[in-house]
Amino acid sequence: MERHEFERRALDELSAVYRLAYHLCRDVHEAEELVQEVYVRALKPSNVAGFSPSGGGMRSWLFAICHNVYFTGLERRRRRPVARESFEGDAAAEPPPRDIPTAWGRSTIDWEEVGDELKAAIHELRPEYREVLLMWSVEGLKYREIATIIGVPLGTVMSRLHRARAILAERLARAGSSGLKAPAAMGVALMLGASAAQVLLWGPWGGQG
Amino acid sequence: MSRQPLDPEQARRAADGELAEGESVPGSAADAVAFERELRSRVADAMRETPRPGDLRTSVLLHVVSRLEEERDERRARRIPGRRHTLMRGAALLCVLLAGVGIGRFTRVASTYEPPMDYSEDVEESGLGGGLDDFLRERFFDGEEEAPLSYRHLLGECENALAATTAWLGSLPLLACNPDQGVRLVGIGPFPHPGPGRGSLMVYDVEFGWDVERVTVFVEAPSEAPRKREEGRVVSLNAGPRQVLWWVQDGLVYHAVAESFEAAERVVAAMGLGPAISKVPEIPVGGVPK
Repeated sequence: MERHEFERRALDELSAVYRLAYHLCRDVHEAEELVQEVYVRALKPSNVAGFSPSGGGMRSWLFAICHNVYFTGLERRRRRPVARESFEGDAAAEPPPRDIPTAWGRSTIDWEEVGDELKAAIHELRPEYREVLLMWSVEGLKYREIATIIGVPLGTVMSRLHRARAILAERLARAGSSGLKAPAAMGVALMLGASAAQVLLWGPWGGQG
Repeated sequence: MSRQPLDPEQARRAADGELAEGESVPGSAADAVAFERELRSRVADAMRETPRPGDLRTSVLLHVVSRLEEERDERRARRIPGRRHTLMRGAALLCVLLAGVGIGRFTRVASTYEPPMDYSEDVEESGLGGGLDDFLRERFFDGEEEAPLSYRHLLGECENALAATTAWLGSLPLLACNPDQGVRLVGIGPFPHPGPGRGSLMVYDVEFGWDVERVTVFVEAPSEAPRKREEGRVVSLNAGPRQVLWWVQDGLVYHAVAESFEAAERVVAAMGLGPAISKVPEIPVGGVPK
């Protein structure tokens, strides 16, 4: 591919790359700097020469650079001492998801009402969760494509998505709890619950499963 | 009737269309699957819109140009001592070989070596005295092949070109260019205006379907009122003739240089500037009028 064409195609993806950068950084200026760095790397002559349109195309390739630049920087920062509160806060921001989300009583969620809550919940997720969420939802990528971009096993992508969605669902359930009908939520749980732990958690009807 | 238990992750995979071949979920999971699909759609809506900085494209291009130029300069700086080192070793060898010839002669040989000029010196020498035509010829159309008018080339020596130009122009009409018109800014740089005035240049790509034509616009703020230009002024370049549109607006003189009038006119239109005062006619076959 000629350099000019390469540059044009790379710059056509600017909005998508910025969107990913923003959701990683959660800050406009940091995201701008990240995108600048991504394009510096992408447009190096050696990279232009080595680029192959196969393997996911330009956007995926730029996403992979964005991922690497961001997490390399993050790792570098993490090696420095951090305040105890921020360290603990990071871990505390991720409650373990319950196996059966109470929000699965779909009819009880008013999606318009919980829109802001959903945005806030996404904003509070860990960056690796936000990253896969974006690729999964906005970009519509398959698990395997995401795994290729971020360089992790397929199972890791599935696990991150699973946990991220569970956290969001839990937040939505709490936000919409005023309208959540307990019997409906329990009904879903009864249908789905199977393990002994779930039986204990959700009541004697779980034994029917 | 017993209900088949459902693995939540399986329900999510079902919602995403990621079930393995032959794998299925019980019908009782319909609500869960529907919820996950709705969640995906809502998450996409929530993540799609993001706050953006002012002119992201320009800021990214400026940064890329600056960084690539820095790295190029660093590479050059590393090479120059290497060359000097090699030269010194060669000189030492020459000393041995030419010992009989005499130290005076050796000094003359060594003094013929001149390190390559700094790029900015090159620009100054070629641009300041020569005016627009020479500047164009020497900087951007070097040799038989048209040198890339890329933003790297243009912006390398002046990181602050954008800020400086904005400061004296007051605003940059080029930034108002609408990419939907098929005209996009790819570079901006200083134009060493002959004399006490100031100058900047901007480079655009104009799309014609799959083809792209590059147009360079020079903006000069002459210290005196712009003089009337004669009709038929042309720029004759090694890469071939170029058409020039020029016009004066608000005391600034603009030149749009392109292979075709159409490309230049599209840039003028995209910049929202007044109509050109003068068009340079097509170059006649068989010669370039001076």
